[in-house]
Amino acid sequence: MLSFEKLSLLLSLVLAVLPALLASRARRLSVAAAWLAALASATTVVAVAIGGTVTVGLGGNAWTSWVGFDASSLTASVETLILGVGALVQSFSVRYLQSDPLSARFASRAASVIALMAAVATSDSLFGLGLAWVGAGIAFVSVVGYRRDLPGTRSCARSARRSFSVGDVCLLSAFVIATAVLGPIHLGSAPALRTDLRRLGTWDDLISALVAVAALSRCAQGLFHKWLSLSVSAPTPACVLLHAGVVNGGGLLLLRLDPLGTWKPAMAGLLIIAGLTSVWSGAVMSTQADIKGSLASSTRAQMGFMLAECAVGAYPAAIVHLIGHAMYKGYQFMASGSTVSRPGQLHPQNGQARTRHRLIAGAVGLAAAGAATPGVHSGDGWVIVFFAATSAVAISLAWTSHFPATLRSQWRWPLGLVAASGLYGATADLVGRFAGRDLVLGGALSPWWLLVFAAVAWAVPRVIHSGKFSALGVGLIVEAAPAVLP
Amino acid sequence: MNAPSRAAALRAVVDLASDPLPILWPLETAIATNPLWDLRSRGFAGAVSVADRLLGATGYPSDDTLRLAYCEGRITDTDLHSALREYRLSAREEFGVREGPEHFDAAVFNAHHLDGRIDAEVARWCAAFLGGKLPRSSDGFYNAWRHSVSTTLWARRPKAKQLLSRLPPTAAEAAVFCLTLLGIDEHQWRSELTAHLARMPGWAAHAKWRSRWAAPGTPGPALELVDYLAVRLAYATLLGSETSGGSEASGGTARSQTAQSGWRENAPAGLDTIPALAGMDASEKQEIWLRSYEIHYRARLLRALTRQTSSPSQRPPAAQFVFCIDVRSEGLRRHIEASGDYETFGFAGFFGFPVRVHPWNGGSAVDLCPVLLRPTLEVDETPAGGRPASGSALLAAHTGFAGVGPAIEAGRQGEISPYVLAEASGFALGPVAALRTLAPQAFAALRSWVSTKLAPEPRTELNLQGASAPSDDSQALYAETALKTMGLTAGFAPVVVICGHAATTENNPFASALDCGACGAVGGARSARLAADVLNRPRVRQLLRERHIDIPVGTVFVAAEHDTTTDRVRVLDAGSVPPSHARLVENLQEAMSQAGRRLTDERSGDLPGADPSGATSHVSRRSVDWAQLQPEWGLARNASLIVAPRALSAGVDLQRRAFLHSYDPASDEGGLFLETILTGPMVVAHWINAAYYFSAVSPDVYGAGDKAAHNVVAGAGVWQGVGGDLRLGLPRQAVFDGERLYHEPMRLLTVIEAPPTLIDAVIARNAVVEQLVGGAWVHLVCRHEGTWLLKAGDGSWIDLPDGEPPAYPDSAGPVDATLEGLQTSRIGGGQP
Repeated sequence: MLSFEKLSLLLSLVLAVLPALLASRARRLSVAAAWLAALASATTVVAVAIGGTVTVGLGGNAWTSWVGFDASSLTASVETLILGVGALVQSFSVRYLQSDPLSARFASRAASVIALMAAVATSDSLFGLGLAWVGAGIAFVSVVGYRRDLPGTRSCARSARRSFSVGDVCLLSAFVIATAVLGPIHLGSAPALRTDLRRLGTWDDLISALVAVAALSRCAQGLFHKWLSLSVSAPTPACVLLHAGVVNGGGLLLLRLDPLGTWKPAMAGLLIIAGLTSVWSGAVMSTQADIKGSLASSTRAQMGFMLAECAVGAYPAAIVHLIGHAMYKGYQFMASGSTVSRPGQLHPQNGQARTRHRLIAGAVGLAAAGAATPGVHSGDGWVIVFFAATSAVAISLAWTSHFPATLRSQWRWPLGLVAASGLYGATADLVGRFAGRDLVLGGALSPWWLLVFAAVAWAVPRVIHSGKFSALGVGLIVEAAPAVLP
Repeated sequence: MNAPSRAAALRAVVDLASDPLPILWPLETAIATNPLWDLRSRGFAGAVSVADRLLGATGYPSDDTLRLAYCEGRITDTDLHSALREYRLSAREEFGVREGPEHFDAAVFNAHHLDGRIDAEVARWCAAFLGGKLPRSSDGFYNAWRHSVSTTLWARRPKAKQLLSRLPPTAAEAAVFCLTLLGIDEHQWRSELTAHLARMPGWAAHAKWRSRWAAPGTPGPALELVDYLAVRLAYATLLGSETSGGSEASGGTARSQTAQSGWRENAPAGLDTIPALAGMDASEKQEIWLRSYEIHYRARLLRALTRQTSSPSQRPPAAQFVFCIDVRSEGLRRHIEASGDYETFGFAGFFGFPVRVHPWNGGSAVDLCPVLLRPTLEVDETPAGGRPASGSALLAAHTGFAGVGPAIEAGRQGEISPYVLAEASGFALGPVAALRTLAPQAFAALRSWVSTKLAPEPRTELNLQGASAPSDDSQALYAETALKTMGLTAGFAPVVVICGHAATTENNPFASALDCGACGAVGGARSARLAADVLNRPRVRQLLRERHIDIPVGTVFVAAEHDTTTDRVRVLDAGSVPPSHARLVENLQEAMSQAGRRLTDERSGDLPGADPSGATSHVSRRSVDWAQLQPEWGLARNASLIVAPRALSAGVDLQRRAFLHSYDPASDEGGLFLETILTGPMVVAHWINAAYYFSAVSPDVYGAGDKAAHNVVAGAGVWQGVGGDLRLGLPRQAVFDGERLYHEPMRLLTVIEAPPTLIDAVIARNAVVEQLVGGAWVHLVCRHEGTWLLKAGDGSWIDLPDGEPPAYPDSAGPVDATLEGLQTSRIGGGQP
């Protein structure tokens, strides 16, 4: 007898497959199916919140158990994100790609990516997860390359294929080793899995290193950075799709395999590579004048931050970041045509920040930190509050120094910022605690390492722009931006 | 020669060298231009062949387009006969066409031998500079580059280091220095510089705009031609010294590859089977096919104009309307005229007032005039009733609101701030994205509600009195010129509506390309208000009376705006209409709304993905949809400019393809007003026409590419993808419907009602008009005493009875026989 939770989980997965099959024949129907899939997944989230984790398997046979799905607070939440962004991409592209004769091809390939990523998010068996992961990568490459006539798409597809295949080989090897040692692995039963993993012994370090490489390749970190920069050659909906589990797939992978995340050298390596990629991408972004290029660099920086959060075991924060950033960047790409100013538009003067402005900004930052605090339950929470406060300071400093002193002050904007910070704190607490409730915290590096990351992120641009170090400077970063001719 | 004079000589050569390059306005005011404008003295065919060789840009409709047109009956055999005949007349001698010295062959050769790495390097420095990302950008591009480039890995190589240390401090000197090192003599400078500019026409076109067209003091980093060339030459020198010997073009661009294919003879296979065309070269054949395509339209237009019988009513009209000449006004005028006793006029949408308006809230100044002019009037916009005490609170609200975007951007660009900012705003933006996609109108309503709450727009007025306003005399002078040029000097109705136009689109980098071109790619509401306000001033009317234009006391001018995306027409400042006229204006508002709805029904048949049953609600949704890449067709299919009293075209369905300029030859003895029209509005119409033409026939070079993959670069233009050159012209979605060309690429047909002698006199007085007409950039047809006359290429006038071209004498029928081969290879489903 199927319970309600199981039914809605299966329904969401079946509905997610439909658009991939229907897109070329019945476009409206496939868009409707995509939204219904997202709705079913959201229903699963509610059902899981009430009823607890469930696993749907196909019988107890050793072979059929390769196929099974798992609805926990984490998997259902991420699945809802993936299917939601996927449905949005479908709806958006119906009109956006109206004049594109290949739009049906885009729609069905995009739907395949979504369905496979939904499987990555919910698969119960380790092997199923691995296959879906590889499939999603292949499907994404085919989405990027669906318009071969657009300059740059072919080199992007080539670069992504190369990066993904390195990651895929690593991931599959890790899974093969683990399965060889332990037999079929089910992710749904985390406590049993943790006990099992102790039996891995010396394989443990190798497996986590391989998984880390897979995560780095999907998140375009380190040497795998190039494909993400090139992906802006593809039509906008493909760039939105990227954020439905593809580029943030590395975070999802680490979260799903959280038992691996105990202190290991691989995690330290991940922290260093992701942290440095993040800082460097932020610097590159500051010299990019093209909107989509700067969004892509920003994504890389954000993914570095998310992986760093995973590496230090700040899982609730990483989940919040994965979900929040996906929606943020999807929106930014969809709105990327709105960056041209209109004649007569009011451009506030870029004033010099004075002591008065700094004091106001400091006060706003403190208030914002206070507003975000009630949700804090653990060390990583405090770190996130620190980040929130710095954001509030930066925004209010920019806002107040734009604002001429001759005008009556507008208190509602700073107050709005503080209120937003409070809302954010509550949301992050709700989402993080709910989606991360089955994950074991601690044991890994301390979340306070993120402050070291922050210090490096703060210092590096200052060094680059100081001019004291002749080896560094704007030129070096301009040179690092991708330069591909059409 | 000493260094300073050589630098001066170089500056002179730079301007000449940039002649074959297009001009690219920034996206904020995306002006439609003729990309071959500075080659106009060579005539259409000559200019097109230069661009073909230099940039790989085809200048004629493709073989497929023409074949399809023939199969569908869009080109008939009669058209071909006429085209041949007219072409032979023009082939004898083209007046107004001069060949310049040939330096292009060398330039073409050089362009193919330049190193592709130069392009890659220069493109990213240009982008970073325009984005304001480089320190010392106020010193110009060359110096900003020189300052920052030293930290690249590139510049650490010994040869580069050595060269960089020897580079002179100004761009012109540096260019001379590098040219000398490259071993290029002064007489080769021009072709070498043209070659460098032609490698990336987009960046060159932006620099050309900045150096040759932008008003002095235009904000933003100034990427000048000399700076751009100096940096390019520096890279050429560096690369040349590294790969000395065997330096081959590497990493050539896709466009230069097309350029190489354009290098070959480009014969339209299948279209050259007509015996009469035998022995002609490819471009002559293409010219004849294009002319046939144009003649078909011309014949139908002139026939329709000849047949129209509706004579203007003798009764005084209930109201008069002045619209912009924009082709989109034609439909609205037709429907308004059909709905009552209304008289309409056409005039360039700045209504004759070249003005710079300073917005009330301190926003950037807006120039409202065609870019061929510079604003000569300055007007302040103020909240209605001066600046009351509440004005400053309002200003604070606006400043605070306007500061939010840049503040969030600052957070996005910060070191530690972007991380939480992104995830926090994501939880708000995710649902907003769903709303914008699923219910665009609900989102638009919500957004306007919020912005009205936070920063309400006050009622504003244009300040026309006082020290800072233009003098009464100058106001009256511009008003007089405008009224006389459009032929509205007597018989004023109680209400005269002055109607500008603008487009409402969402998430559209090319939004300004759909606004009023005659207002400098800005919405026309301010111009309409200014004209109405000036003409309502008693002092101005008094001065006009002294100049024999008597506007009755009972006449009120009312400003309105036509939204071309939704066809909503709304009266601006309805509150300030005197009570005596309020009722009448209300009726007019109703009539305009009715006409707009009918126009929407008419238009929706052509809009891709439109729902014809609910056209009005469809277009409202379309105009606010952020996923809509084709909000309207804009000026696509524009084809003609009619300079005549409305009586010539009233009642004819011109299918929104004609620019209509009112003109009364009876009151223009010296041809002064005609001269104004031919040197102003005709040139603007020609620019728009040519921009659409070239974006349609050569979309890879002169078109901006697919909007779905556009990447806006610093507001200057778009990249297709991750980098490289800026794209020129109009996006693919503006001229193509799916894979099929929607725009019909034709050169502008100007129809003038005036004596041919008067037109000849105007042509003789104006070199630009002579070049456009003589060089076949624009076709000219004259209506005089009931006959149609065509200006032939040799300068003579040919009689066109009833608008139809006369039968070609020696064409018994070979054409029909030989074209059968074409029909078998027909594409699409049209009937032959």
